[in-house]
Amino acid sequence: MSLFTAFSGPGRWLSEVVRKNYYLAAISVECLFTAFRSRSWAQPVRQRLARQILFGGVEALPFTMFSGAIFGVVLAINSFKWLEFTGRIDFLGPALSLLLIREAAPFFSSVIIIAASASAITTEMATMRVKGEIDLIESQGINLIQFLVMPRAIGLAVAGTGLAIGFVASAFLAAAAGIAWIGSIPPGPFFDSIFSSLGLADFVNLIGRSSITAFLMGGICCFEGLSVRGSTTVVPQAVTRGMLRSIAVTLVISAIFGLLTYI
Amino acid sequence: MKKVRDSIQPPVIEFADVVLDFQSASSPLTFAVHEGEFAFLRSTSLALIALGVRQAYAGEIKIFGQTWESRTVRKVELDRHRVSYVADSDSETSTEWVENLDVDENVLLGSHFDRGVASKAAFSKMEQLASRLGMEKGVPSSRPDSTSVPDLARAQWVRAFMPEDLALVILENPLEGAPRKFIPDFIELIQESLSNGVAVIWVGEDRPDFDALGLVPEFEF
Repeated sequence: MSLFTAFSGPGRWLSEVVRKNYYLAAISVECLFTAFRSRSWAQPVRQRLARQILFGGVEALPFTMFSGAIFGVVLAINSFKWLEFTGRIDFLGPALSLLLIREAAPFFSSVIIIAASASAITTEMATMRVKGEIDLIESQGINLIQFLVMPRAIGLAVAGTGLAIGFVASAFLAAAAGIAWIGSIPPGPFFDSIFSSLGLADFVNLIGRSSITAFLMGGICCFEGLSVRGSTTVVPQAVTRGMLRSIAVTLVISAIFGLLTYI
Repeated sequence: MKKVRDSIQPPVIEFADVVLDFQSASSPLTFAVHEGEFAFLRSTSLALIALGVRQAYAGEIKIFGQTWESRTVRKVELDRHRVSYVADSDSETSTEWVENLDVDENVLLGSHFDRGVASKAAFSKMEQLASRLGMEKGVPSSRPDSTSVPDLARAQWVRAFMPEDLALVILENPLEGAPRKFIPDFIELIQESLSNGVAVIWVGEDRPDFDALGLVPEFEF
């Protein structure tokens, strides 16, 4: 096997990764520029934004808060036991803040967005493409970024941020209840230690990670859905690609924020 | 095929040796239609190709004197707002409706994105056109798959005449499934548009009885 043949496969893969991420960057920038123009927000776009926030955020909130409560209790009890063992119970508040606000909440909100919205958006876009509805929309002089992509991406960003905040709120409330039960630490001092440990980096992580990741997921799912060609049999493949790329972007954004926060 | 007589005004639409798909490669289309002219074209669906949404197999298409490829993205959108069409409801290669919008939302969709068209004015125009075409309760507020075929046909007629700065209407088998009672009202809309300088192309594989309809195509291709 020649050297060329050996490297052609990975080379093609890398070229495809670069191409897709280039398109994602282009779509994201176009979405942001479009969003800042007041004339972009025609009634159908506003309606779509509201629906996306409703379906992606409001309807997923109960499950998110339930997950947050469970996670908060488990994390708090484990943290309390180990910190008590090491004699550093005073680190309980800062430890929980760091783990919940900077790491768990953005990550879980992204997972819930992927499960609840990513597949739905990709399926919707892909189905519209194979049925010819995208051609119909374009034939009427309607910009696809403005009408289809922007409200979904921004709607997901708002929904993702809301879910992350909901996750944190329920996690801390459940954690306080758990700590009060096993550690006999009243909620007052517990919350004091939490709030005194909060800094700008925590808010930047929480809002930035959850919103940017969800925004990019909206762009990815719309791109994968709108890229299909052929019959409805290609739709599941597009959904799989959309979800896998969404998982990848979640991990990449987490890593970037982690590096920026700690370096 | 006949060519349109020369005019000092550039044609609204020009096809030069256009082959729609590889199956029709033996019969390239060459024609030009000017403002206020009514033409019949014996062909399969071509609206999406004429609008540059899909590529022709061969040939060159110009709208308002320019090819779609030579326009910026924004110019493409602006010029598409000036062209409308009634899609062939029997076509297997295109759809007439966005399924997750109601029929009236479908009809108003283009107007929402047409700069300078206020929502209330567009809604009012839709109501007026619907009333002229016998839809006394207006365009249906139901999903396309829950709406009757005659109502969908008339809703397409309404949508075709919605654009504010309309320059070209392409009608692909527009009478398919339409209630006969309101065809004269539809023909009246076409005649009014022609007298306002709108170019109209009637597309179909079979030539309708234009004499009975009260329309006289100036050109047939």
